Amino acid sequence: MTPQEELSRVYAEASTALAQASSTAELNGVDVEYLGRKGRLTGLLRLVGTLPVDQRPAFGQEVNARKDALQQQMAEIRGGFTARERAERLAADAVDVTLPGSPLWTGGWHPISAQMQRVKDALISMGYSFGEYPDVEHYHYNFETLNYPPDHPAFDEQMSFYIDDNYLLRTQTTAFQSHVMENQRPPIRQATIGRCYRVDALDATHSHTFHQVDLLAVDEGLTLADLKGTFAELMRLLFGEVVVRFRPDYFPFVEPGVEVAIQWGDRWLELGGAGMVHPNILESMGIDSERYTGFAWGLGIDRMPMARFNIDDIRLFAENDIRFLRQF
Amino acid sequence: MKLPVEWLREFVNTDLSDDVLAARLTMAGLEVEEIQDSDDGPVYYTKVTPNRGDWLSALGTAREAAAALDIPLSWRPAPLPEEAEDVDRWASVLITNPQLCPRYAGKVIRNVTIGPSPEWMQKRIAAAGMRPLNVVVDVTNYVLLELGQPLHAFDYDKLPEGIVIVRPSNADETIITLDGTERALPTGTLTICDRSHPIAVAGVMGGAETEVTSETKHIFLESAHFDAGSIRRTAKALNLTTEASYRFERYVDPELVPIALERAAELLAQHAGGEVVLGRIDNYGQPPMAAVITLRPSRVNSILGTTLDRDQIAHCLRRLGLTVADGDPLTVHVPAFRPDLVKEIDLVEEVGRMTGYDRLPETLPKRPGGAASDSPLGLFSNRVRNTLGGAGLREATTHSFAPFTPFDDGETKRITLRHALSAELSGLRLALVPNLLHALAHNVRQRQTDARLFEVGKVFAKGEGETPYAERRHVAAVLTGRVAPRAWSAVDNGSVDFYTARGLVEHLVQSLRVDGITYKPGTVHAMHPGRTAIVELNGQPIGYVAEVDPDAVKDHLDLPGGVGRIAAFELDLQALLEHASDGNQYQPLPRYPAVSRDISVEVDRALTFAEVDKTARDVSDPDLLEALDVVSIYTGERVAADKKAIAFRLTFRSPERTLTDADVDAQTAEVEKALKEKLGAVRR
Repeated sequence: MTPQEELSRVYAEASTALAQASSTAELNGVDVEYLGRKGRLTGLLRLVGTLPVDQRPAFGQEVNARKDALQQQMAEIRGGFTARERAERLAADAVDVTLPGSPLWTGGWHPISAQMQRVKDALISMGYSFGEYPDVEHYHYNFETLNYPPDHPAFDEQMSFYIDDNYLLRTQTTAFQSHVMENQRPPIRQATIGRCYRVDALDATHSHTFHQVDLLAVDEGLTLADLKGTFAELMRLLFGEVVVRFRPDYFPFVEPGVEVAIQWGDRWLELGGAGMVHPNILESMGIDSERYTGFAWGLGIDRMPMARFNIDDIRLFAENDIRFLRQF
Repeated sequence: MKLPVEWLREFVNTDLSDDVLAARLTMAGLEVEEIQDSDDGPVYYTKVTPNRGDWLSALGTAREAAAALDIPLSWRPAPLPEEAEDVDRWASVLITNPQLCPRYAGKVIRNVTIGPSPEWMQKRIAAAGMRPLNVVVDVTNYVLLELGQPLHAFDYDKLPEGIVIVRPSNADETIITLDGTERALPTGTLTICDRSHPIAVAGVMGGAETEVTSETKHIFLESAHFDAGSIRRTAKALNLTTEASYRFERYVDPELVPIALERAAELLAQHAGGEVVLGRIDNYGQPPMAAVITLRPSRVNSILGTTLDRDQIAHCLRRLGLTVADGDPLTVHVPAFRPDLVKEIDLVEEVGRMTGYDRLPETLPKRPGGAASDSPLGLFSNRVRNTLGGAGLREATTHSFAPFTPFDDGETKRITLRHALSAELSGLRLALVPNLLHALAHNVRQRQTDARLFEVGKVFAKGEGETPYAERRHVAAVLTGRVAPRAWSAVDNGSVDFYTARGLVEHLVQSLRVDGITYKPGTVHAMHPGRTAIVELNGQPIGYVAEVDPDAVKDHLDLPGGVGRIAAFELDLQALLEHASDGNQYQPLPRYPAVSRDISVEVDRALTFAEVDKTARDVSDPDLLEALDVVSIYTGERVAADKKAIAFRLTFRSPERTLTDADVDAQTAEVEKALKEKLGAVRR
């Protein structure tokens, strides 16, 4: 056989072997047998020496051309095998994705804390800074500096949790006002949020403990209309587009005094008291009530999540039943 | 108050429906909380604010309605009869302290027939929430409800010589009041007396001795004005609130005294067949000066944010029955029925009310606020909530009130309420864990056996030095049940124990970037003595992590049997805040590989890991030792009963070069030597 005939035969055998290979492994075998460094096709190059000098380059090119052709065929077949084998391999590794995942405990904020944070975030965005003030408050701050007449019914022992003659649990976060004005001159934009306490029978809608957010603004040119606009803005941030109701009410520390509410379904959700800081209070804090005016409010927090989530019993907040807490 | 709407309409003539009229009153500040039906037709339930005692009558409510609707009041006081003073022959009144009783008027009505009052009057009184009794009592109550002036009728024949003395009580005086209760009168209580002793508690309640009965023939009718503060003190001292005291406490217009008296006499003549003795006793020392307030229209607009002109402002005030003299500022005369109007700002509010708060514009303050922020403690508390919430704990909020329970310590520091209402409402919590344990027990009883609760809140204690009462913000948690939720795929991770809680504390302090935390064996009240670590921050105790004492759980928590271990921690959040770092310097990432070696030794069982850790670190080059981690702790068959095997891994790394085996072996040899010499450790 001439080297050329030998080449044709080996090439034909290699082609057959390629065509018969049924897996990547078999293909690798064909690769080694024919195309490897010691493969049969590669080995044909050794026959170059038996050829006349003028035929040698052509034979060498012919061998390489056949090799390239086989390699190309092999790459195509290999591509097909890889995709199929990959599919088989991953199919064997498949899981039932409808089964539950590896569980983690889910925790989170109490709905009252979460509501307080929403209120804080909204008011901070509107320029009001928050401070911390005591729950055990001096009578002086809770009542006396807030323009309560000497024997106002609110002082009544039966309405407030007194600790001694001077200290009681604050009945309103409004107690923070004088702390602020003792330490700061206008312009003032301050707020606080926290627990308040009043003697009350515990039932679905009443508790001896509740939460309030108080706000105090003192500046030149503040008006009742500004209070209304500020309240409406907060309500939009918290509840979206809602109708705001401003109604006259009485609190010793504001004049004019307002009760604020929003429309919630077919009823008014009364959220608290507000008004223009009474000039008596500004004057007692050494602030010129002709130059400066102020507005303030104390809003109840607890009613907000009760309305939003349609919670019908305030006692659930302090019961801390996990089945309740995990709903928020 | 409860007010039949038809009664109101006798004083103010309007076509508005009951609902619309109620809404108008509400928006003017006199809230109609509900409208209910009665035998006398619809009844308004109004909520009268403490400053507006004048709203406690049909007349007062009508006056507000007329002002709100800007229509005239269809009531004028009837002219008082000017008659011969026959009454002086029948009765006389002496006031010893005109400050407490500025005005006292009386009339005598003879030969009354005591029977029921007319049906229409009974219906009205009942609809207003009072009990019809007999014609005399009903007439006084009717006038009280109609005009707001409390009246009292005495059986004239029980008044020796018709002499009435209004005086503060003397020491040790008592009276049996109309409700049949004998009451000791605190000295100085304003009383109505005959010559010798009290026959009524002024402004609060009459006495049984002079009560009008079916035998009564002649009556002495009292209409007076008492000092509001005096009546409030009496009502409080006697713990007795009546329709009369409720009104006197809130100030009653002294001008009503004769008007109400004549109105009652007229009704008694009509319905009790009485003969009204001509004339009227009326002791009225010094009528109060009408208040005069100047009001700047500019001030009205600068408070309300409105652009009202002078005429609009004056008109608002006139609607309320105030007299306004033109000019700038306006001069406003306040009638006696509005004692709440004292200062200019009070009039500003009245203008606002009459204009309607619903018609105020909504604006924002002209000057923008500066940068605003939460307090450091508020921000830090939120990080704690996010960290523990993210770690799978539910936030609880328990009451600041707490009974003193077996889980509490330090009773002498507990802040107690002056008047305990119950065990729960007797004092303030000293710590968060006891309350949380009760919340956990609630959940376990509800078959929520995997309970993981935390709380961020204040605890309270008696203070030392300047502050009599101290408040600190704490964070605490309680856990029970499984470490991880049950899964179909995974091995059981076991149940909560000390290490679950300690892991959470470590996670928390790492998240908060607090350095310098150590855990020392210690004891805490009601915690397991062998499973309690005191958490220290730079050597100062700031709380603990522990398992709750199993016997305390059994004895003091109402739990179903079979509940597993309960772990807890409580830390002083403010102490953590003071040491939390937000300014850590960046550490360059390592450029050279780490090399680790495992060491396994057998030591005495009682030896703590902390001692092993310290001994190993003391002899290691701190520049090279990157970490020392426990791999396993073994006790059991393969070691002696009083021994345990500890395997731990030392990781070394140099910031400057690749360490050689020789470097690391030298370090490891030092550690092994020290463990052997100092702790008697035997290499395994």
